[in-house]
Amino acid sequence: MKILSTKKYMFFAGLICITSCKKFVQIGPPVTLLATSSVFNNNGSATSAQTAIYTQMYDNAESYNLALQTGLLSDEFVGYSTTVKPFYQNRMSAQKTQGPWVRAYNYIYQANSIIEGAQASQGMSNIVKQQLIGESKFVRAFWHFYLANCYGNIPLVTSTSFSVNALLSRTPLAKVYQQIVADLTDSKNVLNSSYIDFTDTTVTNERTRPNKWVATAFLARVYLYLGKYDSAETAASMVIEHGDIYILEPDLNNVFVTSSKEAIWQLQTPQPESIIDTWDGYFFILNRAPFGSLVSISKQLLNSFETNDRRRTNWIHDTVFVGRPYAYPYKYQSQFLSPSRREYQMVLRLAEQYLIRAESRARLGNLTGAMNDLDTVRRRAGLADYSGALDTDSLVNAILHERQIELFSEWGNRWFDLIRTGKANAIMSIVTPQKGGSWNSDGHQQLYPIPQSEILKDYNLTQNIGY
Amino acid sequence: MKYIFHEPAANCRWRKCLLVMKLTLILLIAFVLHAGARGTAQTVTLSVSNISLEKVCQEIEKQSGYYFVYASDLKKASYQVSIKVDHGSIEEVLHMVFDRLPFRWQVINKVVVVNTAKQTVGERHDILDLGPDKPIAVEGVVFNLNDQPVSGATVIVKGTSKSTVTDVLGKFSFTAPVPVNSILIISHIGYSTQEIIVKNEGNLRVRLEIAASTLDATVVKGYYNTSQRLNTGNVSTVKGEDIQKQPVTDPLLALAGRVPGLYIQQTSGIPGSYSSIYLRGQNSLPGKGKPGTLNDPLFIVDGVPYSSASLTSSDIGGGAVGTPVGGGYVRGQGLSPFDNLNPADIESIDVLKDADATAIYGSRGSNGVILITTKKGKVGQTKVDVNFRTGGSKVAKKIHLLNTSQYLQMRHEAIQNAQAPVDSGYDFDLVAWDTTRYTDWQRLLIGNTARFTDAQVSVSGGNTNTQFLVNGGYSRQTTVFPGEYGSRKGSVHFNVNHISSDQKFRVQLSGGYVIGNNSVPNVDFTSNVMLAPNAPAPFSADGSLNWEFYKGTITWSNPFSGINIQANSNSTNLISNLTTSYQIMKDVQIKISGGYNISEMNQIQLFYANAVPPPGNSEPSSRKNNMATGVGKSWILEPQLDCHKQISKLTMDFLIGSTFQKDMRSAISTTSYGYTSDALVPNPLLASTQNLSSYSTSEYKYNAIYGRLSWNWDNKFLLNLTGRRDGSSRFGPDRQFGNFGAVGAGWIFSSENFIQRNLPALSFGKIRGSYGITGNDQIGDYQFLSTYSGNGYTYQGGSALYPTGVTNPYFAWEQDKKIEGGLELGFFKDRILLTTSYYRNRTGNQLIAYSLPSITGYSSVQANLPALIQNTGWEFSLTSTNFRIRDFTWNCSINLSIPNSKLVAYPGIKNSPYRYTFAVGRSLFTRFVYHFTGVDPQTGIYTFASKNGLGTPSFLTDQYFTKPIGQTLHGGLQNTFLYKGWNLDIFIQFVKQTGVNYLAYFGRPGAAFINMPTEILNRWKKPGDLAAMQKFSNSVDAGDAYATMQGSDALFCDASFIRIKSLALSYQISPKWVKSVRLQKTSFFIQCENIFTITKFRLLDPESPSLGLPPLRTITAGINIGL
Repeated sequence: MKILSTKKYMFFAGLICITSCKKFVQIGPPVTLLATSSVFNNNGSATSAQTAIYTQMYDNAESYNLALQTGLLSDEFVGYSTTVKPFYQNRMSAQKTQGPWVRAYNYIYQANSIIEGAQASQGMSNIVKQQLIGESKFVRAFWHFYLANCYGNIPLVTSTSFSVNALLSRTPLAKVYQQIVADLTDSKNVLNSSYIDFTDTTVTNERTRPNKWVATAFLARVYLYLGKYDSAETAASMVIEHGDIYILEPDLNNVFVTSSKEAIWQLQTPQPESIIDTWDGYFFILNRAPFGSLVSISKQLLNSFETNDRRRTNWIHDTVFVGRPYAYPYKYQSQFLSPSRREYQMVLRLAEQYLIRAESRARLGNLTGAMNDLDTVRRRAGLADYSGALDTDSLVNAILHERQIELFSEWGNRWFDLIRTGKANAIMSIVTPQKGGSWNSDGHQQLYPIPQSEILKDYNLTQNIGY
Repeated sequence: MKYIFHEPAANCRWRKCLLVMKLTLILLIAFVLHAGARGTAQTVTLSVSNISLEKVCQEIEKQSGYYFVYASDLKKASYQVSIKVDHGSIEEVLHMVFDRLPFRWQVINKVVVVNTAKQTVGERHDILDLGPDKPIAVEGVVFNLNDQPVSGATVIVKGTSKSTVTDVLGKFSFTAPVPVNSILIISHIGYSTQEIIVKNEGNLRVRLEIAASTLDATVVKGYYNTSQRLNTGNVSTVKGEDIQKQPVTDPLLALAGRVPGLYIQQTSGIPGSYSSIYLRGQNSLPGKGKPGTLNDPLFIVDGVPYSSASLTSSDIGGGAVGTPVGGGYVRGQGLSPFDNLNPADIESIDVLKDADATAIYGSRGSNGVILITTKKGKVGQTKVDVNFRTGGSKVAKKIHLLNTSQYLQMRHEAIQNAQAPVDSGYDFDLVAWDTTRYTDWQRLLIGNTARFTDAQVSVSGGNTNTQFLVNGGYSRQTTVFPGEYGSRKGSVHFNVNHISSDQKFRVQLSGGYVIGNNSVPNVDFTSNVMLAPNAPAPFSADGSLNWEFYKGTITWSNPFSGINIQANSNSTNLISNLTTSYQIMKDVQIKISGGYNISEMNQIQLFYANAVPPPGNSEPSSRKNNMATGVGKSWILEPQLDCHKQISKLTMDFLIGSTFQKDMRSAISTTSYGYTSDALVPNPLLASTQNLSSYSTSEYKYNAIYGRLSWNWDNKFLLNLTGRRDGSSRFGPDRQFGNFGAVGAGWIFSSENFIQRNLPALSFGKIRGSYGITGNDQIGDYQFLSTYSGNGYTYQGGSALYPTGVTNPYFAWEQDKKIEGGLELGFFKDRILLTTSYYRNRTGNQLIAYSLPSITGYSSVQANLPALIQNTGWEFSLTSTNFRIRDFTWNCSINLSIPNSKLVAYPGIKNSPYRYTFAVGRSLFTRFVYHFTGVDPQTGIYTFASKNGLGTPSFLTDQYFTKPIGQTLHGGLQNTFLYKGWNLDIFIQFVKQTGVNYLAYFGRPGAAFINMPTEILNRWKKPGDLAAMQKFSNSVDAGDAYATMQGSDALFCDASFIRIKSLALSYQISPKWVKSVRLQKTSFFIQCENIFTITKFRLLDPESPSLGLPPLRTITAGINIGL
């Protein structure tokens, strides 16, 4: 009797055990997620991974953020609120300053993920593989460049392994640039020379994906920053010489529109559109007195314009609030989406290439060539040709001045020019006190502090001096 | 007279028996002779106390003419007898004398034969061979001390599975005959359990006494039930009636302070807002706002797991109740899912704490388990019960803020001290606004009375086979804000129970459906009470919003613009459970329980043009329509097998079962804008642009086998083994399964003779202990999978895919090792019950969102952390019936928890991201901050301890780990007074804690148009001043010092409080009068919540210290009618 009942218990217990199964708890990804391996199994989804980076660069307002912060740090903008005062008064702090660090490394991660995914892919066609690896290397170089210019020595990240990357220390700048140049050279060599659409092969009119000339143009800038003027001149020439594709828009009002012939690379406004076109237009155009992260153009910049410079009237607007005058950038002219005027977010444009070549030529001693390039830009602005002294220093200074006027409120050009030319200390020790701050003679304010939270998370990271 | 004796067996016991028999025979003869000489009386009257059994027998002999036959060792026995009987029958008197004694006795003619050699209980054979005890039909009636029948009492034949339940008239009967001398156990919640022996008389009258203690009340441990007496684990029970005495719509709020080890913090007074739950502390490293491991207990409503995560869309947010983070699996802000339960439907809430109680929940039991059991019908006449209450709530305390002249003085001083001029383009409060104006923004924005209405109607009844209950409820709560905000909910709950006549088949169906509507403002108006006292009037004379233009520019952000945003959430929640069981063998029952839960929330948010200040309100984009739907579904299926076996004094219970569970969540949200007029906003199709802004789905599957094996030896020694093998879809391949288990043991030492002899006042004493391992899988779904997701955009016409994060496929179960010891004591027949527990939970292999430097691309990765966190604590609870004199009763219960947390070990913390957040050997709630050293009397600026003496402290070298923020002691004290029809309950909550003071929640005095509490008036004015606050100044150095102060220990304060949390007074109208108008009972009551708080804390409320709406003071009155 006892044995029998024990057997029965065992039977029922067994029944319950059998009903549990391992298969039950295995699940696949939901419809809203794609396994990484399947993303790189076909051309379409791999391209989606690539273009996502551009939508994020648009959506995170990278252009506006860099222009805003460096414009405040330098002598382009006036900041009003406590939100922007630390930049305006050159008092960035490791605890509070939010520079491009976090997002830039996220883009780099995505680029690395695509490079690794495409290299391992069995399902992608070779031409798409090549294109996406080229674009991703470009993106990786692009963001390492901005990080290096904001922060100095930075960890160089070329893989997705979090266990490796979490312990990285800062890489010497020379090595970072070596990788940037290598990546851009690879990109230049493999990318399509035409602008392509989402199929990665069909040519399109919109200049919204990096191609061979985008990589070349950016390489020109990198060489300029590195002081490799001959390489810079060569690269810039390669872009400028493609007059069939790139010409300076004669009308300043057409430089930033979607059909701009001056554009080398623009970020498309992703669909579905929100109420705005570009963040630069949305934030820079003042419809009320500036507060929060809204700024106006500084006296220093306004006073730097020569008389009759069309850029003063076309690219800057003046307004009055509570009885006070304010000037604001008007390169992007629509604050809200309007069907009559469509703008894309400009990343690289031809005018900069002329100025890169002008500066390279001037520094290499080709003063005539330099003047020609400089005058090309000046003529478009309605100005007379360069008539200053004909020596390298004067000409370089004139070109740098032209860069200040031509490229204001775009991607930090002014601030990085001040630093790379060694003029930051001289200029900022005058400007910063005017802004209510103080400039330290050690020049540490030229670099962003590395976010304190990042140093806490990676004990191999060290802080920039002075912070 | 002829007796046949058993042949002596080859057994010394029988040999002894034989000797007794012989003696008996001799005595018998002697007494028979003796009896003949006496007269006989049929009744006996006795009133003796503590006299020897022999003397009692002699007295009965004298009065009745019966004779006793017993061995001489009865004389030696030290049994003392107390008996009081007036003209009792001989049979009755003998029962009274011997029922409590371990002797078998028999009346044969007029001879009472007492067998001292064999004890009765549990024995079958008699010394005299009268044949085996023939089973007899047993029936009876159970009534209470007021001679009222007790219906629904359980009658069990001890040692068997035979049981029945008393009917309306308290009657019970067994269909099958019951052997004579069987013991019947009669129990009913609220009464002391009684045991009676079945004699030849089959008709029994049982009188149940009101239980002096809760020792024998049912304790629910999920898959099985026990009583506090026999429990080897730690479970606290809160009864539904205590919950229903509080005017709250979220049942969690009613638990605050009532359960040792459980700390519930109400974070806001807005109806539907969430509250924080800590059951025995924080087991994993706190996530610091990142989606990480959740510290919530597992919630189960009638066997169905209930998600504690809000369904509020993380896309469009919940307005003033906040926006959930982490994609729906982290409980946090947003509308609380517990608002979708009706407190009136709750029968009891059991809080399972230690390993013994929680290990059967395996991987989900790490943070404890909270079981919510809903009401069931009871045997009895069909009853209709109507309960209605209504009342109001107000903010209990105001902040003392500066008046206009003090405010303006502060502003001017701050500007002057910075040696700056008044800026006419910025300082609108000084140049544009009326400087003589004064508005009490607290009165205007949070000064209204919120109305509270709650109505419940229930119908219940049933016979011994089938019982039912249906409850319908409606409640409505408004807010203290201006505008028509509030929450309403309607609910239906039902329960049907059926037991077949042979008691073998049981089925129970329960269900609850709640419909809720919640409308909260987009922003908590409390955040605006700091508006400058001379801020403009919110409305112009024509009733439109006033933007107070100055030279063509608006000068303020009108807090009333929020009324142009309409936010509504409609939610529904269905929980149903079907349980069937069948007794397949004498001791074996199979059971299957299936449950289904579906919760849905539809949110709509309408932005009208005036929600944005001009000139933006002229843009078509100012009008917007956001819609979101979130759905959570869950089903669970649990087959189970129970065995119950009694062998002699050993009771064994065995249980094995399996769980299949699947949860699904989905969310979708849309946004539409570009309307030409406000009237069109509700219809998204009339917008120029409609976007699908987010869509997500997730799935969770869970499978387990669990079991329990328990031994109970003579109600003295208890041993309980529980275990579970779990599989969860939240882990990667080969890491899905984990094993968890616990052992619990108890010794009821009060059952030991030597204790009973030496400590007569000790009526109950138990030592218990448990040890076990539980786990935690409360992380997001799919974390182990490397995935890409759409970001909602297309680029060049193709969709955009981004990686969802860095992935680690190797993370595995978190392990929580829990150890507990407890001592439970009852004194004076359990009138005083004292429970003391000590626990130590050590959580290792922690499953957390491990912080990563951003150079990895992301800020965290799901990983196991080698840190070992320890939570220890003492918990005490004492219940006592202080007085029970005639009509007056005073009961009191108090509980106390002393929690302590510590990071025991963290190998490699020095190189980890947490090296400046946590410290080995310290609490998890320590902070790494500067040390504040007061205001410099010369400069008037805050100063801080600095090792290099430079005044400005350095981030790493001058910060230190402080004492922990949080509770060091908390508990509650409940007093219940009963006098005739009156019932008064007073519940006091007390918390000793370190908190963050008001300085953290206000800006820098004078720097913006923000009012300040009057405390800041004690500021530095001139050199030499010793002041608590630094000078009002907008200068950079004052700003830097202020910012450092915000990261210093100057913020910490004593936020302890003692609060009369709830008070309920009721009066039950005399039953006689009520019956004359054909009602069953009628009572009136007043219920109050959050009446009075004693605290040193200087802001609205120490419980929710941030500048949000504090818990409100609520007063309601109501009536309860039974038909």
